[in-house]
Amino acid sequence: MSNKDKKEDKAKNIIELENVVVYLNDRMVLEDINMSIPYGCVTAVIGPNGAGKTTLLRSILGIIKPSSGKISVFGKSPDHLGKDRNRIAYVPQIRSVDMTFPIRAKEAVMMGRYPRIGLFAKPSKEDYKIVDEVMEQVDITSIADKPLSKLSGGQVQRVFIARALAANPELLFLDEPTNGVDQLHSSNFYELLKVLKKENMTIIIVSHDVGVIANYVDAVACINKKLFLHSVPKAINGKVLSEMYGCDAVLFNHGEIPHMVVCKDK
Amino acid sequence: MGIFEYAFMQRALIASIIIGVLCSVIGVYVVLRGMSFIGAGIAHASFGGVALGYLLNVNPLISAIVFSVLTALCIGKIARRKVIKEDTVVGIFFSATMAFGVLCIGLLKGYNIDLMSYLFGSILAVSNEDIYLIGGVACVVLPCIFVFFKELKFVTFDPEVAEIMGLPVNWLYYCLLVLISLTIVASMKLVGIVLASALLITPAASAYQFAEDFKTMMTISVILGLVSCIGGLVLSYYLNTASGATIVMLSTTIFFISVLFSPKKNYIKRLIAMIKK
Ligand SMILES: Nc1ncnc2c1ncn2[C@@H]1O[C@H](COP(=O)(O)OP(=O)(O)OP(=O)(O)O)[C@@H](O)[C@H]1O
Ligand SMILES: [Mg+2]
Repeated sequence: MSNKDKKEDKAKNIIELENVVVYLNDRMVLEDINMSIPYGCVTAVIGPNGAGKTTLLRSILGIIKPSSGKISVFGKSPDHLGKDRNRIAYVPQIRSVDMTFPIRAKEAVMMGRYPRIGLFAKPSKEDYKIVDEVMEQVDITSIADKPLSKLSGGQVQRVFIARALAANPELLFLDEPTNGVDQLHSSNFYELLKVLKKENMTIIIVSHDVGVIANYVDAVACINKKLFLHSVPKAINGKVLSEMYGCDAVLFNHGEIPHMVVCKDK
Repeated sequence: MGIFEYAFMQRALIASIIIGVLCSVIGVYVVLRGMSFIGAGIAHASFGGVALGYLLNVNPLISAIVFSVLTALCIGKIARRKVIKEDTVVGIFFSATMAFGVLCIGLLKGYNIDLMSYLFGSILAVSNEDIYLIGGVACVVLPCIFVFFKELKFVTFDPEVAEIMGLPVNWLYYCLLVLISLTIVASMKLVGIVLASALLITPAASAYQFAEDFKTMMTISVILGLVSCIGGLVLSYYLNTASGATIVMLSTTIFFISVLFSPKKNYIKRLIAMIKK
């Protein structure tokens, strides 16, 4: 891609959804979603269980096809991303992988490098260095040599976060990444989000830590089948939350909120 | 090594070594991806290919390769659509290709094919031509595995994330199906159609009991595959038993011993603890 192309690319939004409707087994799971996420924006997706958050991510990733509407990622349709897929990384919510697979933690993290290394080549010194760095970032250096089958749920989760980071992606999707991760390492992870943001990574993170996450993101998308709000975190109030969750929601106290208006209101 | 003075034993030995390596390498992917049933299905499809070869008067191994590769790709294509479950698709093709083979043989009235040797293998059946074919298959399969080693590993471990991050998952899946088909047809003369899928699964399944990383599993699998094939061949010579069956029985014995001593299962430790009580 030439430099000029890249600039034009940057000017537009990295992700755009226009009137997206998704049906799963004849049930409407997402209804008329419109949103656009600019480059470098960290967006939290919140909503109750079964709201369609995972479905939204998977639609953007091109695993689920919307029945109508238009999705574009890097200005392309998600099922025609081609080489641009190498710029994406993903930490899924439900791990469908076999936990008894014979593989060590550092091997699993290295997999994040594979799409970048390309065919025929072996991991270089640089790749090993990056793997060491990201393992340090999520504090799994001490368990690097352990096989996956001997790790705890939260440790495995951190291995998968490290794998996604190892890809050094421009666009990172995290579906409840701190699920099962202890307090210390969760807050460690949220601090890491700030570092990644400085590196200009565009991040979409699904989370149930509504109160905490608001302090670390530029925008919040509240989803329950429909998009209730897509705005800066401080725009969230009790009314929106109770509308979305369908019950009286407690207004949380999110202290110092970043005031950057990066994402436009819906 | 008196027994390898005979030319037929030399051919059988070369075949055993190549097949031992091929099956145990491909087997690692088959076991880890849970493709055992597809393996068995493809093996049975090759029977249809052999019969068709006789009917059309072409080399049965060549027709078996073409037929089983096409069947494997069909199964893969339909299973990928996810409308019908993979094991259902395999089950249908499994019996259909067998039935097709039986019909073909019915058309060859009066022609006496040595069917038993295709179904259950025979060391006497391995000809020079077969050795070239088996060698040729190895020259395709092993370099493929070598070149796509890390990609196949990622795809076997976590196909969804591999696809999202840009690996050609579909393409690698079809590639694996073709490699499985080639390996099965190559093993056909030595161990037979019915037993080929066992050789594909058992050494890798034994290795799985011990391995904590991927390369170790591959290495142990290859060692056990070679021990089973060469050991089984020698045993079959002295015991005067069918080579395929002996190889498979030896490899199954190794499997049960592996399970018994598996550090993952700790049966021995538990047994000792029970006795102490
Ligand atoms: N394969 C499927 N077929 C039919 N319905 C599905 C399927 N997968 C999910 N659903 C439904 O779609 C809705 C949205 O599911 P989704 O997984 O996107 O929710 P979520 O917001 O991620 O929930 P959670 O907070 O529990 O992760 C749910 O009501 C669920 O029952
Ligand atoms: Mg979810």
